[in-house]
Amino acid sequence: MITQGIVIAFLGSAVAIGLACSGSGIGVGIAGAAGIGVLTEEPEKFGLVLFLQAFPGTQGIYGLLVGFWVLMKTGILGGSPIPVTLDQGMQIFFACIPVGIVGFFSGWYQGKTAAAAIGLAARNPEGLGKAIVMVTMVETYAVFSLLASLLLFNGISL
Amino acid sequence: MAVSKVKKANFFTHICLKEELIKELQKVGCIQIKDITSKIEKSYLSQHKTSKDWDITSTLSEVKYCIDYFSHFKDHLKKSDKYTEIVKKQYNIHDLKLLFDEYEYKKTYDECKSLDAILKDIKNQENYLSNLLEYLSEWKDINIKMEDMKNSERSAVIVGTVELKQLAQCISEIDQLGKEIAIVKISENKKYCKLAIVILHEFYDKIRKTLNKFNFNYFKIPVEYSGSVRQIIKKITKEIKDLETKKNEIKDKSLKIYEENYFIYVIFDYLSILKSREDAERFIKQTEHVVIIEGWVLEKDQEKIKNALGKKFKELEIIFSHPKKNEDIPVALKNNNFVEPFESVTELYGIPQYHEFDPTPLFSPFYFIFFGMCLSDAGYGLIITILSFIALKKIKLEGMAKKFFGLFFLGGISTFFIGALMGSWMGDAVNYFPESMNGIRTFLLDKVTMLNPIENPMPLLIISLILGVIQIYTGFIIKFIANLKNNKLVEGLMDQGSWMLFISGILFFIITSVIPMFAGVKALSNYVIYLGLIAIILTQGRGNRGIVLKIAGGVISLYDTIGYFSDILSYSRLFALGLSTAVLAVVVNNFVMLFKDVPFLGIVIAALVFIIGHVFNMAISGMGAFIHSTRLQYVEFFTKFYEGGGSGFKPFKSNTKYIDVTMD
Repeated sequence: MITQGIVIAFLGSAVAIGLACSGSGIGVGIAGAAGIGVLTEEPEKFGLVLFLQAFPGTQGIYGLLVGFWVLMKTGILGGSPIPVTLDQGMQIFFACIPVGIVGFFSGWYQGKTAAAAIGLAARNPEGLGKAIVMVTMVETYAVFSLLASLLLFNGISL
Repeated sequence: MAVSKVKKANFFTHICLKEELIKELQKVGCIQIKDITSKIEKSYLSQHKTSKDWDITSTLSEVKYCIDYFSHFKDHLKKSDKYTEIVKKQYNIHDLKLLFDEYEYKKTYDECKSLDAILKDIKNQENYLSNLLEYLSEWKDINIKMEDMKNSERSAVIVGTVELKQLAQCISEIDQLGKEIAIVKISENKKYCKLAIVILHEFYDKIRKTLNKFNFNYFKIPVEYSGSVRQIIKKITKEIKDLETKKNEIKDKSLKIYEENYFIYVIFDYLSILKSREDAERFIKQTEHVVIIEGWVLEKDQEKIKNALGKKFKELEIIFSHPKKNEDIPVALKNNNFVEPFESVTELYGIPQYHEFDPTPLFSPFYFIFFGMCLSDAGYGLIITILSFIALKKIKLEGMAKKFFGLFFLGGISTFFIGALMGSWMGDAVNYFPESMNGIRTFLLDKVTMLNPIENPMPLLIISLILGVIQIYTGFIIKFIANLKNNKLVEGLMDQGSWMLFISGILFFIITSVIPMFAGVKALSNYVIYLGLIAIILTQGRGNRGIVLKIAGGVISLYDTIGYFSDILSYSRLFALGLSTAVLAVVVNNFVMLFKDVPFLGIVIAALVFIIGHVFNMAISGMGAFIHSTRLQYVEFFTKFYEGGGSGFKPFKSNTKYIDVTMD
């Protein structure tokens, strides 16, 4: 049965996936552009560059994760949605907001950091370990937002 | 303390034995030769002068040039049996010398060089032509021949584009210049119009002035061609094709040379060995009769070196001594089989200085558990374990790469057990087993599984945070012990003791508030907190001058509390990442079930979705597990006690890339 709550839950899922994946898209794009610059000079660094480029991709996965969890828990993915009240739907929507918004911005900015790390890895491979830590610092907040979304979602009694 | 003990070794021998000794040192392969040329400045000491009549460095670079040249055709290089026969073989260093003398590398080099030059030339031409082609294809609709466009005795033709909105004004202004001007519109699109203007010479300057005013974009005549644009395009296309054939010819020629010259890889390694010898020679000093070599050796190799060299040379004096504290002593790590793979994580951060201790054994158990918790799927763990085991057995790996595979091997084992405890086998794949396998299902899900984070996430979150508390405490305790060892008991008590007291008090308070059983001792926690608080305020500002500043410094340092608690909260990523692997795996399985019911192809599609989905999840989550476990060590753990920044022990030995060499 499609209730108003389900519609709002849809919105939540869309926000989580849409925003977080956009952030990842921007981030991976920025890092990729820097990576191609390095590859024109040193094509043998492809593996390394790809590895660093993949960093801002995780936000999209976190968003996808929360979005799918919403779809699973509300039974939409199985084809038989459970009756979600308007209040519950709103709760689901709010639970999706952290991973969506933080995913968007942290993906974007992690892309910039990853681009810088790619530049460093090209010039000075020994610095790679430290560069990875810098990139992971941005990731922390994406993980926290995922955590927040999951915990908020866990608090909803469906 | 797994930083290997290092000793300084000094070798003295007669000058006529110099080359022999260096060869022998390379053979033993456990001495790092030190550059002493800048250190001892005495008039009777001189630097080594090369006696070779040929330059190894330039020969090596020429050979390398050939190898690099061949690698351009990487996609076409077939490793034939002959290659294996020549390159994948053990060589004796004396045979190599003979081989090198016979082998005419110079001929190969010249061939490669000339072919490379031709190839570069072709590529330049190709670039030029394809750019021209692109340019001309925009002017396809000009039907004027190039030779007509070139200025004749009395008239000239100007071709180009002008913006559409300026067209009318442009034409009218040109018309005003004189009657003997013909303007032909060739074509127009939405923005621009192509014009051909025929004029007499005397108008040329005037008309150009007018045209420039309208930003007229002149057509650049490709002077080397004749005929219409269409004809030229055809011609260029053919030329590009011809170049392509030429390129293929060169490629075939190069491949033929490559196949005839597998020995170049052998020679490359031989020259590398000679080169490293020459580099070592540059580091030594000598008097008129005596050679002095200084180097670092590991304490455990001391006897081995004495035996190997003592037997061979009678006129050799070796003196081992303890290094001085202020010297830049190289560091080699030595750990047991379990800990060794984790050295890669330490190396990535920077290995310890010689007088520091090796943090690897201290964080390995944590890393082991963290990796498992982040990936937390028994199926993935099994796959990673098996794959890295095969890699370790089948591929000849060395150094960092070997350690990384070892790391994934151990991480896989950890993932397997932790995944089994959380009941995740490729997500919830166990649930889809047929009825007949109910026994296995009940065993895996009811007997083995301790907690299911998808159904009840809170316990896993709490476990993650507890692990964080344990690791942070470990960091404090390590620093405390390090202080003890340096006879700084008081500092240790003040810096680490006060903080541990304070944080323990806060944790104690939280526990007593949350768990009713301990509520009776809640009052006690307050005292611990106050005690810690006072200790911090009294001690942490002690570097400042004056009692007021000391206290103020102590109070300000309380701000660090936030830092420590954010460190602990940071461990919640273990929970989030573990859960994300599990949920994504469940999502993959859901999709598999959706596709299963498609008629005919259902099973095939479902199998594909299953494989691709899980491989993707395993790769992404595996990368996350590696990165985040590493980060927890670097940012949360190392900052409590570790510095790093030592330089690695790099013994002088024969490093070969393609072949195996015996030095006897």
